[in-house]
Amino acid sequence: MIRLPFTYRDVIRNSIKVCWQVDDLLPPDFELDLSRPQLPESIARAMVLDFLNEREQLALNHIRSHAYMNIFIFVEEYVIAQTLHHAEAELFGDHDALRALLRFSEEEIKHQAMFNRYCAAFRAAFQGPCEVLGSAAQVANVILGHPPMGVMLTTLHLEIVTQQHYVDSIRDHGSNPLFTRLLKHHWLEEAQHTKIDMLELAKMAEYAEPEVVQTAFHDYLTIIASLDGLLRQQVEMDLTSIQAFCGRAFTDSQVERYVVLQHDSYRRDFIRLSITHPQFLNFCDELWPEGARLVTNQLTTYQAA
Amino acid sequence: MRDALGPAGLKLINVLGREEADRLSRRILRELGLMALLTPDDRYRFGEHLIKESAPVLRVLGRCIMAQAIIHGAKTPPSQ
Repeated sequence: MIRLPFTYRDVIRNSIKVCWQVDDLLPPDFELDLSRPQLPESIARAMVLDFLNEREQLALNHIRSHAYMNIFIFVEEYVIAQTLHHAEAELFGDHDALRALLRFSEEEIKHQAMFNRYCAAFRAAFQGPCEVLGSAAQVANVILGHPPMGVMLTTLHLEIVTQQHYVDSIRDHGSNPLFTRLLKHHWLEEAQHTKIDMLELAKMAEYAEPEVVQTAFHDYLTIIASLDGLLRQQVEMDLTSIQAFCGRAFTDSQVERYVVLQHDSYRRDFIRLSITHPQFLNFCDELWPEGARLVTNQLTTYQAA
Repeated sequence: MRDALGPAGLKLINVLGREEADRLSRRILRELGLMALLTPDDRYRFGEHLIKESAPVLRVLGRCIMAQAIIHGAKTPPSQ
């Protein structure tokens, strides 16, 4: 049995303490200031593309910020369905778990509302097309087609990255204070969600047959590989957007360089930050030590050559 | 009896009270040919049986027990 230093009741207490409202962060009529970067450079990696001038690098930062928000809207779609399923399982049983899971679902819906509001303001302020991944329900369908434990491991993975994204924004003094505030408030609640993920996974591991835990790791790695495919699609979309903004087609070698560097940047932001995160790896080790090794071995797959 | 039902036992007692939960679970276990709910698959079958009961609350309870069993690794038929 995995012992964790927190309970559902602790999570509820913290969740009430850190709770925020969308209107407090982004008033309904807010306008986005695109005169400065939105994302920290460690996330966007726009400045390494030296064939872009300063104005174009700034636009790429903005394109990435829009895609960043959309990716979270995207993944939160399946997370909401998943947490409601877990909440249903606790009905008539553990009321602390039920309440924690319902708060979790509500907070994810709120995050989607916040990100949607940001994206709407972005589209109003940005000059030109800016395409993003658009089949959230389809992707949710594919993820939820896997057994629950692998899905929950994926959720833990995705929530852990938000912590590093916030840390990145504090270290980068050039990034927009508004965006830093969004990353902070997102992380504050996601930090509670990671605890719920771990409590749920610990419970699942307690009741499940060992082969279910082992299958979960393989399912998780399959889902992460699909996520990588989506990130690659987003890189292509960003490339189209930035070329439209620049008003020119990049040369073949510039396109090649763009795709390699930007795909690596997305992989760092959404895959590597978790599979190298000590909290994630330690927890995986508790679930199944061989599983933790499988996760660590993935690093070479998602590392730039 | 609660121990024989795993996490489904707490739900039954919370909804029906100890005595009625005991009576109902003994009957369903007998009908399923089980002594106890030892695995998530057993709990899934128990929940499936419960949703055939006439009382609406038992049908909801059955659904919750099935949902929990799936989360704990029950192998569901392809139609589920």
